[in-house]
Amino acid sequence: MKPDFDILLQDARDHLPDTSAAELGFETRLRAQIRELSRPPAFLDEFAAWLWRSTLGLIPVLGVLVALFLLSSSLNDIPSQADGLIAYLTHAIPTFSQ
Amino acid sequence: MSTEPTDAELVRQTIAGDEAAFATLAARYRSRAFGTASRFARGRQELEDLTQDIFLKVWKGLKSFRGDAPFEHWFMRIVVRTCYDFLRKNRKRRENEVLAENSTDYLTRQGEVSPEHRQREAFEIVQRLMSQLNEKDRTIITLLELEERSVREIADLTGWSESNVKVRAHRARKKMKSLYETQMLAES
Repeated sequence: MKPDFDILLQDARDHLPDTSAAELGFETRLRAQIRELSRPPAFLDEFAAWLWRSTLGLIPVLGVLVALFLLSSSLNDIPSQADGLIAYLTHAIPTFSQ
Repeated sequence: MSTEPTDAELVRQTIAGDEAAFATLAARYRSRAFGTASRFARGRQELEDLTQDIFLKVWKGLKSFRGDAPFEHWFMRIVVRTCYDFLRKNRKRRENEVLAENSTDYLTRQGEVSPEHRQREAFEIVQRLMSQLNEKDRTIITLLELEERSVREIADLTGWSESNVKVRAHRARKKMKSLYETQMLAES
């Protein structure tokens, strides 16, 4: 005969998982973890963290610099004289030849 | 006369930087944390990680312990909330668990196996049934059905309202029962 749901729950409730192996040396591991977390960060760790933060902070600045560079280089291609500008624009207009 | 330091004394000493005091506190409450965590974790590694997480949260949060309620209440709230967070973090993995993972002796050889074996298999079946629930319902069912805590106690531990706990428990239980009966039919 198969057990009904209430009996299943009762049986599951009566099961006490054996945690003794996991509990063995628990405080020692915990203390080691706490010591690790309490340890003041070493100079190199702090420097690496500072470098990383600075690099992240510089990304927008670098983006603006690259945009400015691209803009200025494209502006340099446009001739400054009026005749040259007309010729430049004329070439830019598409023509249809037969 | 007992020379055992009280929980409040150990908390004060820990806050003052006494690591050994915290180890004593951890040893005092370790079995309670392991008992509850073992209902949520699968396997030894998960259990170790979960309990370590619980005690690190306790250690970090000790300064916020005001001492107006017993330490145990405050501690158990952290235990339950960490277990709930653990379920949420591992949601994907648990969703992939198949209900009828393998046919168990529990359904096929009742009466032929030892009570310990039967209870362990029942626990595994309940775990698989609960993997079909969301994390909130699973937390409630674990505390209500496996830990035999009252609705009021669960509401206090989780911070959810009593009516919410009641409604969720009812629906979750119904869903589990239906899944179990479907599985029983499939096995017969």
